[in-house]
Amino acid sequence: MRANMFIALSVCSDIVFYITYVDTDLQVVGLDASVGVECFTNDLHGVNREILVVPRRIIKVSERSLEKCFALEKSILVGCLPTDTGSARRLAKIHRLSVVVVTPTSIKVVNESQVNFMHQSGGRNKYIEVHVHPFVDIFTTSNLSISAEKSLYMLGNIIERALKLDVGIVLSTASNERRKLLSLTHLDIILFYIGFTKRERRLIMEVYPTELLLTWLNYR
Amino acid sequence: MIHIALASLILSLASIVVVALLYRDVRHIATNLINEFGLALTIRKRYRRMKRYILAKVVCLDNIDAKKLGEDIEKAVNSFLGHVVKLDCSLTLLSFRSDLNRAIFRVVGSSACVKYSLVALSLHHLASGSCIVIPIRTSGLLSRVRRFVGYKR
Repeated sequence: MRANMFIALSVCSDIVFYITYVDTDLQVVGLDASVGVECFTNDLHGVNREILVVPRRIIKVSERSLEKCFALEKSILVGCLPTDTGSARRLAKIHRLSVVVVTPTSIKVVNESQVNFMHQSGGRNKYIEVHVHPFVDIFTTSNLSISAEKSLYMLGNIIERALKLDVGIVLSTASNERRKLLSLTHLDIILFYIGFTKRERRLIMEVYPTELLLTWLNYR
Repeated sequence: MIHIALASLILSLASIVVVALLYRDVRHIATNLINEFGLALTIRKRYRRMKRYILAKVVCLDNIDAKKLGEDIEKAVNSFLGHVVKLDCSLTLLSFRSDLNRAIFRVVGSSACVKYSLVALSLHHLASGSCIVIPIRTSGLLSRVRRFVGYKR
């Protein structure tokens, strides 16, 4: 099952464009909860194939504001973006379904140790979600404050560690502009570039997203 | 009879172990001899130039002239690859079918070039803002790529 667990688009016509032209064989798509409801009632009916829309919300949390991550209804699949090590570690230890988001800003706290913690906590309800668009944006825009090579190296290490310890890891495009859309094939190519085999890429792109979806549906 | 068979088995096993142990040294000596006698250029081919074809789906936001679009994509991808990679790899647009939104690119260069070209094709639109290129299939044969998804009528 091909799944893109999060697209950060906010305009319905852009989402329809993405589903119709860019990722034509997409079966599961994660949209921001507010946008998803609006699009589902208006535009998405025009798409002539079955597609599962997952309502999402990405929340930035610190150690003090960790409860924000679990305050929302269970009908929304929340992704927590930790800003400090304390919140990241608590997310790894908590006995609930938690999705820890990795972006270039959170990669310092969501590192290999975080994957170890998530593995040690046990259960199949801890997932890492990598938002690829912010990573790709580093080397397309001349952002000198963050090293593209280092970010990609760290990302590769996290994915490798997660696969080794069988911690669920999913990749989302998280594209926020119509002109800067990424398809799942692009993500597959990036993983191939980093050095992952076909089997590993299939685990990341298809197996773990389906597992996350089933866990979330059972958890509700 | 059995003693002879056992002795030959032990001897062959011992020879395998000796070969395994001495393999690196023997190879090193052989390489040194080849270099010493100036045979490296005739025996080994150091640079292997490969040719690969990439079939890609092209998604544009606006209606653009096909010829101009092809040139734009080629230019954007080449600038994304950068001067250093272009010394080793060459990427050219072979054909573009606007009715099918399919394009065929040819990559020539070392084995790593396909990897670089795939990444450049996938990400160039983020920097240039032009059409989105989604690589679908890679092959060493142009006919096979053309046959895929009804490119060839």
